[in-house]
Amino acid sequence: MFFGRYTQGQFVMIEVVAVDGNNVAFSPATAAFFKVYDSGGSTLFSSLMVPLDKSGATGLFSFPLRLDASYPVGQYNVSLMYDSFLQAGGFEVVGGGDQDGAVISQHHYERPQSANLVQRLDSDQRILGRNPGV
Amino acid sequence: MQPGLFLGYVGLTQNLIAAIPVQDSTGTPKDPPIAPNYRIYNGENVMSNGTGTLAKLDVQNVTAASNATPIRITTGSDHNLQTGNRVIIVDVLGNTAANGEFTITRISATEFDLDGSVGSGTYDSGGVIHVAGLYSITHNIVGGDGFEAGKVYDLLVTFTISAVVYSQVHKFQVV
Repeated sequence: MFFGRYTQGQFVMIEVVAVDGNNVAFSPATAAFFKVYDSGGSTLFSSLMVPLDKSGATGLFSFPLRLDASYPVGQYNVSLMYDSFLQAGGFEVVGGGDQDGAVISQHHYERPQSANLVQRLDSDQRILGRNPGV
Repeated sequence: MQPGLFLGYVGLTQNLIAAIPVQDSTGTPKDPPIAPNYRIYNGENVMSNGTGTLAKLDVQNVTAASNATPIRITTGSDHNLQTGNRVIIVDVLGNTAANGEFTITRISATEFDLDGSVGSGTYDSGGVIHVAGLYSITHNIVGGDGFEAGKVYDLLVTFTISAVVYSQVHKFQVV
């Protein structure tokens, strides 16, 4: 499964449906688990995955993987495991973007000495700027 | 068994890099006795230099294998495996019962037990762990071999498990 092309700072939604040998979806004994490898085969990240839409879907798991500085431009492989089963996929990071992510909220406040802008990024960082120009 | 995959996009002069799962008819991940082969087609013919062998992905070393029931494997760094995963272990010396195909039970970040195993002796040295059935392809896509930007190519993967020949067809696009 190709998860798509992204820039740094974006989120890759890693998803898998747990299916058995007959491609029938089932709920595994433990949560699905995924690993991300770089182009050299080294493991960059691994995590259990969260069940998604438990009332409407069987065996569907997901995990939002944020592409921080650990993910330079290149291709990445993904293994997805549940019980004794295995699936595989990959995604690509292309140029552009910012490892700290996009601005998701901001607040403007005035002080006698300056106008200020506080921005929150989806990496949970805060940026303070003064006297923003147009 | 996972159906054919779209492996993604690759530029001319770049490497096609993709993870390929290898499973038998029951969907159980397996390491075939002979590494899977691949052939790349443009819809009509095999591409020039368009054949090769898949490499094992996710390989790490054993640092200890307890002479116990079940055998407890220790790794030098985080093995990043979970209970229920299947692994293939080879080249363990001393406690040779640790060699084989197992489902594991995670104990800690650096330890896991081999379900159903019984130790056969004191661990001496060696041992390589592979996540069963997880392979990857790295193939250089060059215009000199006939690859063209904008075209979609087929990747045929074949392997033999217990005298049964399996085939998978995946696709990728050159950009």
